[in-house]
Amino acid sequence: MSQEIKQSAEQDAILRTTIDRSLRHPVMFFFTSGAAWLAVSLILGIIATAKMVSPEFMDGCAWFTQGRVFAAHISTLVYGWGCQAAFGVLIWLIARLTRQENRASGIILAAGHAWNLLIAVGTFSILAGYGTGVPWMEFPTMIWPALLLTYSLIAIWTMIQFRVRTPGEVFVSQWFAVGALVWFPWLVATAFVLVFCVGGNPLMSAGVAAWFRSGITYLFFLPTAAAAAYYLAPKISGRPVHSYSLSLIGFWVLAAVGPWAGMQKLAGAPIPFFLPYMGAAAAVLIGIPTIAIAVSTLRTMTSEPGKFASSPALRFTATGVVCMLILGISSSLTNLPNSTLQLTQFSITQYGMDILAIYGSFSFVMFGAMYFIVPRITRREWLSKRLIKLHFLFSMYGVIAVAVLSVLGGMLHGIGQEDFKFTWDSAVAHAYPYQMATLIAWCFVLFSNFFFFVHLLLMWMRLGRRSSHPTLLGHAHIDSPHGPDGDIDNAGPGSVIAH
Amino acid sequence: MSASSTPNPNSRPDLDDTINVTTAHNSASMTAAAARENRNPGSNKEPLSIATFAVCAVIFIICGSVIGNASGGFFSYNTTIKPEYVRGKAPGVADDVALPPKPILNVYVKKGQSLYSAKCNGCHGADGKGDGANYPSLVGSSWSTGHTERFAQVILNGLQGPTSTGKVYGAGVMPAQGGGMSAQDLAFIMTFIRNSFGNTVGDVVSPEMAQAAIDIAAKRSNPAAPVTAEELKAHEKDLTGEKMDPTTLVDPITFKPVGAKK
Amino acid sequence: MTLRTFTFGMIASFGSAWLFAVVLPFFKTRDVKPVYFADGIDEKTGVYFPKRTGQITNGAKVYAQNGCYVCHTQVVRPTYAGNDIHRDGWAGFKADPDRGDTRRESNVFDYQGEEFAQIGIMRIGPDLSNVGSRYEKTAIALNELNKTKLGDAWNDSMKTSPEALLLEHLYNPRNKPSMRWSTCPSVRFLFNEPAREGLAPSPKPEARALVGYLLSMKKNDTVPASMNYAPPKPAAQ
Repeated sequence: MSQEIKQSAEQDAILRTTIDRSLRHPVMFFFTSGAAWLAVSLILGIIATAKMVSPEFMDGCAWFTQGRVFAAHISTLVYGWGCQAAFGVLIWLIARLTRQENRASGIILAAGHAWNLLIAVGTFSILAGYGTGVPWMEFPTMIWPALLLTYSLIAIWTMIQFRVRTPGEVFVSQWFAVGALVWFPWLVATAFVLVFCVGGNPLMSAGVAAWFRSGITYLFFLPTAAAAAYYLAPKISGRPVHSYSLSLIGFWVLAAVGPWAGMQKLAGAPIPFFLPYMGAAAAVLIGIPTIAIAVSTLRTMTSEPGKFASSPALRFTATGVVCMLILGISSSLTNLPNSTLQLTQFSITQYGMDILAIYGSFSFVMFGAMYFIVPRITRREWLSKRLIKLHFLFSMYGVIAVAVLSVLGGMLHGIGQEDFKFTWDSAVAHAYPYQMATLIAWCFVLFSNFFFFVHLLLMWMRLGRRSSHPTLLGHAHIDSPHGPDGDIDNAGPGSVIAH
Repeated sequence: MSASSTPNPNSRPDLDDTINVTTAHNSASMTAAAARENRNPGSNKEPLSIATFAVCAVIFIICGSVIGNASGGFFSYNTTIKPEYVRGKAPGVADDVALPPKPILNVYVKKGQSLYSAKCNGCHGADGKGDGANYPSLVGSSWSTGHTERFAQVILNGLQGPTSTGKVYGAGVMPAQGGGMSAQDLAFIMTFIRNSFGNTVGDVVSPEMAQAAIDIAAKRSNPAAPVTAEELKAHEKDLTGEKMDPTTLVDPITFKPVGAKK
Repeated sequence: MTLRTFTFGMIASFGSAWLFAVVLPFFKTRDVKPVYFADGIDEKTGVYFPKRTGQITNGAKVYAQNGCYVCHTQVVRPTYAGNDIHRDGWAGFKADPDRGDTRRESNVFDYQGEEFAQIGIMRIGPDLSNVGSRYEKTAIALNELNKTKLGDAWNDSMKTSPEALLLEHLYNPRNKPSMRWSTCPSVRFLFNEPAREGLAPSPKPEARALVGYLLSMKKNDTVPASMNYAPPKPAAQ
C-alpha cells in the first residue's frame, strides 16, 4: 500500500509554488527559445514545401536549395523546438511529481543557452552546405557530442531528483518521463558512435539512422507527450486516471516494441532481411500503446465535461492525444510489408507521419502543458482567450490537413510510383495536390503560432493578467457574477475550483 | 460566492495549526494558481474495456502476419535477401523481350571484334596487317582464309618458324592463344578474321567446329609446343561440323536461330 | 512497480533491441565477404567486385551536403518489396544490345566505397541506382540520332557525352520541354558564370565531383549465379 502524503492543501500549494519558483528561469527559457525555433522551423518548412510545388521559388540560391532547407526544417523542428519543449516540460514534471524543488536551475539555464547555440551553429552549417547527409543527424559531426554533454547537464539533476524522491507509488507520468530521459541519450549516443565514429558499414549506418529517427519519435517525443497528458488529465479534471492497468500496458508495450521499429524504412535494401520485417511488426504494434494512452487519458478528461470544455490545457492535450491515436492507427495500417509498406515507404507518407507525430501529437500536448505551466511560473494568467482559441483552431486545421492529406495522399503517391508502365512524371503528378495541401496547412500552422508567440512573449515579459482566476475557454452566462468572460473572481484566492 | 458545504481551509487558515499565517498569506510562497490546483488523484482500478482489448487483439494478429514474413531468417545476419526469392514477373507485361534477330555472320563478327581487340590487336594490329617485320599480316593470308582446321591450330597452339608466305617474322614465335579460350570464343575470332580487313571468305565457324579444333589440339603428341609449318600440312582440311548458312537470323544474345531464314 | 522492476524492464526491453537489431548487425555485416563466380555456372571467373570509377568520395559528399537524398533514393528493391525492377531503366535494361537482360536488385557491393549508403527518404524524383547507365544510353542514342539527321554535316566535335547531359540537368532541370514537370532544384551555385556571352557555364570542382559520382552508378553488372534471382529461363525450343 502506498504511503499517503500527509499534507494539507495549504502545504501542497506552498510546495508547488516553491517548485515552480525554483524552475522558472530554465523552463521559461526552454519554452520561449523553443517557440522561437518553432517559428524558424515553420518558415523553413514553408519554403521547403513551396519549392516542392513551385521549384522556381528561390531557385539557384545555395543557402536555400531544397535539400538544405528541408534538412534544416526537420532539424530545427526536432532539436530546436521539440527537444527544448520536451526538456522544459520534463524537468518541471519530474520536479512536481517527486515533490522537490530543483536547485540546479542555474546550470540548467546555462546548458539551455549552450543547446541553443549548438542548434544555431548546426542550422547555419546545414544551410551553408556542411550538413552530414544523415537524415535527422545533419548537424556537423562535432555538434553531437556537445549536444549529449549539454543534455546530460540538463537531465542529470532531474534523474537525481527521481532517485531521491519520497518512496511511494510512482505515478504513471514518471515512468514515461524517466523513460524518455533515459532513451534519448541512449539513442543519440548509439547513433553517433556507430554512424560517425565507428563507420565502415554504409548499409547498416543507414539502418541505424532509420532506427534513430523512429526511436526519437516513439521513445522520446511520444513518452514525453504521454507523461504530460497523464499528469494534466487527472490534475485538471480532478478525476483519477482511468484504468491503471491500461496505462501499465501502454508503457510496457511501448518500451518493448519501440526500440525495434525503424528498419522498415529500409525494406528491400540489402541489409539482414529480417530487420525490416521486425521494424514493420514493431511499427504495427505501436498502435497498442497509443491506443492505451489515448483511451485512458481521454476517458479521464471527458469524465468532467465542464473542465474539458473550459480548460485550454485540457483541450490542447486532448487534441494531442487524439492525434497520437491517429498516429498509432496510421502506423499500424501504413507499414504492412506485402501491401501498404511498398506504397508508403518512399512516399510523402513518411513526411506526413513525422509531422503527425511531432506536431500533431507531441506539440499539441506540449502546448497544453505550456498553457498550464507558464501561468504558474510567471505568476500571471494568459491575456486573452481569443488568442488561445485562434492558436488552437488554426493549428488543428493545419495538422489535420497535413496528417490526413500527407498520410493518405502518400498512399496514392505510392500507387503512382509502383505503376511502372507510366513514366515518372505520372508519379510526381500523383503527389502534387497533396504537397500543395501540405503547404497550405503549414501556412495555417504558422499563422496560428504567430498568436502563440505573441502571447508567450507577453507572458515572458511579465505582461500577463494579474488575477487569481485562470483564462478559460468557453462562455459564462452574461449575468454570471464572474462576468461575461467568466474571469472575475469575487470570492478571493482558493475559492475557485481548480483549473 | 462558492457555497461549499465543507469549510475551505484556505478561508480560515488560523484554524489549521500546521500553518504559519504570515507565510501562508505571503503571496510569494503560494500562487493562486498553485492554490487552486487539485492534488493529483492517481489512477483508478477500472479493468480493461472489451472494445480496447479487441482492437489491440486485432493489431496483434496483424503484427503476427507481418512478422511471419521473416520466418526462416530470424537473426540470420548474413541473409540480406529473402531465402528462396525468385524475381517476380511484371504483372501484365510480356516478360521475355527479344532483341531484333540479326544474321549469324554479323553477330559473330561483332563478338569476334571485341575479342580480337583484346587478344590479337597488340601484335597483328587493329587493321590486321601486322607490321611487316615482326608480326605477319592476316589480310589475304592463305592460312587465315583457307582451311579452318589449319587456321584453328595456329590460333590455339601458336606458331614456330615460317608463316604461310615462308617468311620468318621477328623471333619466329607466336604465343599460343588457346589457354582458357572457349569454343564459342574461338568461333567468334575465326569468323571475324575471315570476314574482316578485306577478307571475304563469307563462312561462319560454328562452336561445334571450334570444339573439334580444341579436341584436335589436345590430342597432339606435344600439346605445349607451338605448331610448325611442317606439322600444319597434316591439317589441311576444314573442321567437321554442320555448316551454317551465314544469313541465318539469330538472337544476338543467345546466338540461337529464330524464325524463318531470310 | 518498484524502481528495480522498472530499471530491469527498461534495460531488458531497450537493450535487447539495441543489441540484436542495431549493434550486432552493424558489426557482423561490417566485413563484406567476397563472392566468387562459380566455374562452370558463370561465364566470368574470379571475384565479384564491382568497381565504381569516378570521384565517389567527393561526389558523395556534395550529394549529401545538398540534400539530394531527400527526394532521390538509391535502392532497387526485390519484387516482394516493390516494383522497382520492372520500371524502365531503374534496375538495368531489359534488352541491352550487348548483354540482354541486365536488370538486377541492389546488393551489398553496390554501396561499398561510400561511408553512408544514401538509400534515401522519399521518391519525389526517380531512383538513381542506374542513373549512370541511363545517361550513357541517352548520350549514345542522341549521338546516333543527330548523326542520322545531320548526315554529312556531322562531325565528331558535335558529339554529346553523359557528363554534358547531366551537367545540363543539374544546371537547369527544367530546360528540356520533356522535363518541365521536374521539381528538382537547380544547383547552378555549383557552376561558374560563363566567361563570355553565349558560352555555357563551366562547372566548379563540386559539380564535376557530383557528376562523376552520379555517372558511376551503373548497378546493373553481371552478378554470380549465387546472387542472380532471375527466374529460370524456360527450356529452349
